[in-house]
Amino acid sequence: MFGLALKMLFGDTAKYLMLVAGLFFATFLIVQQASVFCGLMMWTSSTLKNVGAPIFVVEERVEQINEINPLRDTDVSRVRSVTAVRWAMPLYSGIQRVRLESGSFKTVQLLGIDAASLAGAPARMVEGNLEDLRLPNTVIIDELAVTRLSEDRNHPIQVGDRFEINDIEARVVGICKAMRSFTGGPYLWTTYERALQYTPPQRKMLSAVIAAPIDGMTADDAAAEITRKTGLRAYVNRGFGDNPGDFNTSTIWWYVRNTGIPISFGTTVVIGFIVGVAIACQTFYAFVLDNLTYLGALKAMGMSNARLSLMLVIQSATVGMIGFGIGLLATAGFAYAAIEHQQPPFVMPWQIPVVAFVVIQVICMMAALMGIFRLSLYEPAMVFRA
Amino acid sequence: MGIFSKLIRYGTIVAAPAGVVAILGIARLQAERQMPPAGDPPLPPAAKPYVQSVSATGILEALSENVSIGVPQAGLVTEVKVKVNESVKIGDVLFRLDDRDLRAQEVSAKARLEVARANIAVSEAQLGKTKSQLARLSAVSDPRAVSVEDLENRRQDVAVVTAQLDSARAGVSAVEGELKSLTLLIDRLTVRAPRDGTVIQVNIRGGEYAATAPKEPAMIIGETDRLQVRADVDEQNATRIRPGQRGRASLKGDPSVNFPLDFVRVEPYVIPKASLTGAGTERVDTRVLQVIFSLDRPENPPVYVGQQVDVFIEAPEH
Amino acid sequence: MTETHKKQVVDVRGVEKHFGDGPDRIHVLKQVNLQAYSGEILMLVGPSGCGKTTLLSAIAGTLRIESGEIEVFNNPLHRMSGGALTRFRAEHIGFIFQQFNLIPTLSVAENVGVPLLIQGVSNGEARKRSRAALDAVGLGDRWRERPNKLSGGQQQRVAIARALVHEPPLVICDEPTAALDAQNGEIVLELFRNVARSPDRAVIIVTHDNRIFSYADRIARMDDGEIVEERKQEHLHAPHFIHEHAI
Repeated sequence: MFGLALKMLFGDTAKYLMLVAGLFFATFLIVQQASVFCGLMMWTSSTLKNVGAPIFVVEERVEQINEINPLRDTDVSRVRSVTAVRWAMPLYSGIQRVRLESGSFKTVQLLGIDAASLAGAPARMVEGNLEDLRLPNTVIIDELAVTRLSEDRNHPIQVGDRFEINDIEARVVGICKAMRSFTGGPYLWTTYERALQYTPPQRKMLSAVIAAPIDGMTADDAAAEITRKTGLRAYVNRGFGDNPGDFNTSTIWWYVRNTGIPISFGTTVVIGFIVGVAIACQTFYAFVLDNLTYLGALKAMGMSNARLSLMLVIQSATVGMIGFGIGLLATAGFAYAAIEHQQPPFVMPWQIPVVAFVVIQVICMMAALMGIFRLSLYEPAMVFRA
Repeated sequence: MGIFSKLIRYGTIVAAPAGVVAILGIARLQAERQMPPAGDPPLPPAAKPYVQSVSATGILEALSENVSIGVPQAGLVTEVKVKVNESVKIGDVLFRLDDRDLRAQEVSAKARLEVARANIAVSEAQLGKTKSQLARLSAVSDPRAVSVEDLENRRQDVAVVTAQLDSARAGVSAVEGELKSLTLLIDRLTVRAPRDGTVIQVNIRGGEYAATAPKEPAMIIGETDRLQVRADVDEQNATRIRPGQRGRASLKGDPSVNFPLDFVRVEPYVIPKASLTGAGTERVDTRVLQVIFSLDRPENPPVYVGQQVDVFIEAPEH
Repeated sequence: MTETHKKQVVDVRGVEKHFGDGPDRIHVLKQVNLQAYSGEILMLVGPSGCGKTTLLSAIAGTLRIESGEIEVFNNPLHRMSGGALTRFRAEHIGFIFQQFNLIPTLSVAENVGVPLLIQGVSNGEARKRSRAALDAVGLGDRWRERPNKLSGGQQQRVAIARALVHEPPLVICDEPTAALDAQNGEIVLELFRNVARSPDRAVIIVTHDNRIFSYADRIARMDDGEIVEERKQEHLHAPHFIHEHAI
């Protein structure tokens, strides 16, 4: 039975290829588009990933990390004074311009961290020493900055090279790995005090206070406690999810609400989805129609409806799995290139392939159901009428 | 079934699981590339010493505050007798100002003293002379030999000369007084330590001109064996501060160095936050309550007056 | 083979069937009575649209009748449920369709094995028996090929092998010679004769091809939904295919 169904499926190379191609295309569209969309959305909260602190304390009305209303310097002490806080450190985050030796300007994302504890320092150093950040006029740059700030390909910027941030010298003492920012500028780390020197003076300069909960307390409870005690907004930093108290979630939803990016991109994803569904459904139904007379003959010869349905289900599930697998293969190729070049954005949470698999299988089952319905309308006696 | 069909059939069957494997590889690669989850900083900050505490930034000062040594009058510095970090006792000479004008006055006063003293001698001599004349005339008993008038004249001469002697003596006293005042004035130009302590800072060197209202004090003397911490508490946390609360401070930049604090007092006046982070761009839009703590100077590692510290004051939350 | 060996295996009594609705309603079967016997070839003949294929469908258990009774090998088809009918077809009927309906994506042997697979026979057993059935129709060396590589006659023989492979007692055959030339027609009809000779088996052929009437043991002529003539043929000598030019 199983073999018969598969032989009927594989026997017609052209139709089989069309079926697989349709499902492959649907899978690729769904997984790739959704992952690029996720990647783009993740870029909006990359500062939160690059500054690894469990809790971010910001001004009361701040909803996302890229648009900060600065705090007063003493707010660090206020947060530190909350019992639930194990440690709290200042953080500066802002977009500044770097002037290269050649005279050209580049926009960068400048991060200022506490010099003593280096809280918020890059997690993955490629070159150089983190502690060197305490030397005068030093910065640590990310790998993107190496390509952005270099003169040309043959002269990459190295540890020891210099440039200027707002007319103040900055010496590179380290290169690290960092997640790309939404604005496209590379990340630069320096100490908090020096970040203030690099930045044109403003009334308030403290972007956020990063903190950690005391042992035995969750970040969520500590954040709630900080909010209650200080009146500042404390977010946890775990990653996008259903928790509105997570800064990642809040940031991404802010973009969804306030920019057209998610809508326009989301539309593409939905269209990809619909196109995929349509192609898959249509091809499989056409396959059933093409085989209708043979299936009818089998019905006449005494094959029960249940077994015929099972055959169709087996066929559609098989073709679904193969199309899905090949779609994943193509997506993996795309993803590999994207991850290596950090462009275009690509983040694939496990839900995407799982949902895509379910969707593809549901599409196939729908197609099979349509076929089964069509077949149930087919009287075996019709085989006798040519 | 042709080669092509076989290729398609088995190719797709092989490609499908390969795709699943490849996407698992991508998931793994992605996980590797992902930033590690939020954790502790590279140098973990010191644990908070108290369960419930108010945090503040503070600065180390000498106990009883630092004494900024003033200058009695503007003038040239001739000599600085102490070096930084030298301990001084009360009354020890710190530095001297130029006193040559006073010394010149002293020289002339001394000369005048000689003159005055000479005047006394002259008066005394005259007094002797007039007294002997009077004695001679008084000794003549023959009233015809000495007239009464003559005798009276001699007596008056003695009185005059006696008065002259007194005047000369007073003249000496006057000059002597002048000399004493000059000595005091000269001494005033020698600046002495007002109390026991250690010279923390010297901002003046010999040959420099010392003004009476300088931008920075000529010298700072303080008690460095015992230090005090001036902690700035954000005004919003001010209500949690009570006299007698314990505190603990750690050096900014090295959280491993920390020491207990003894409460001294709360400054009754809330002041605008002074520039503590050292950034020139820092603005003072916050007022802070200053709390003073004292501490014994730890032996090792050395700490210095003027260093910034992170302070935790044990204070219950509301 | 004598008359005493012959049992009545198909009994159709008073069968009625309409197609369509309202004014277009057609009365296709009008009180049809028909019997078929084991060891015989029964031919249903008549002009197009006379209802002979409908009657065949009803006997094969693929079509429900409105009234009357059909018993095939003691199975009361008119009273059986859909599932029972399906099982009945799988076990009792060998089908040969006009268009053969061989599945083009399966090999010849696989096509022949289909009824066995439907009955639940194992793959290996089915392969063996279908090869044997192909040998019996003279196509044992072509088992590997796809049906569309074969000529019309060969395809018909494959269809016959498929109809016989599970040894059904009743073989139903719709216009078996429509697509065949004379030579192939003869071969096919000889095959049917051999099938019908076994005592417990009957063959019913629907045809309007008068060239093959001589192969029938019994002929039932239909017109406008009724059996208008039924006669038995005694074979004094071997039947022969009536060639076109002979008419």
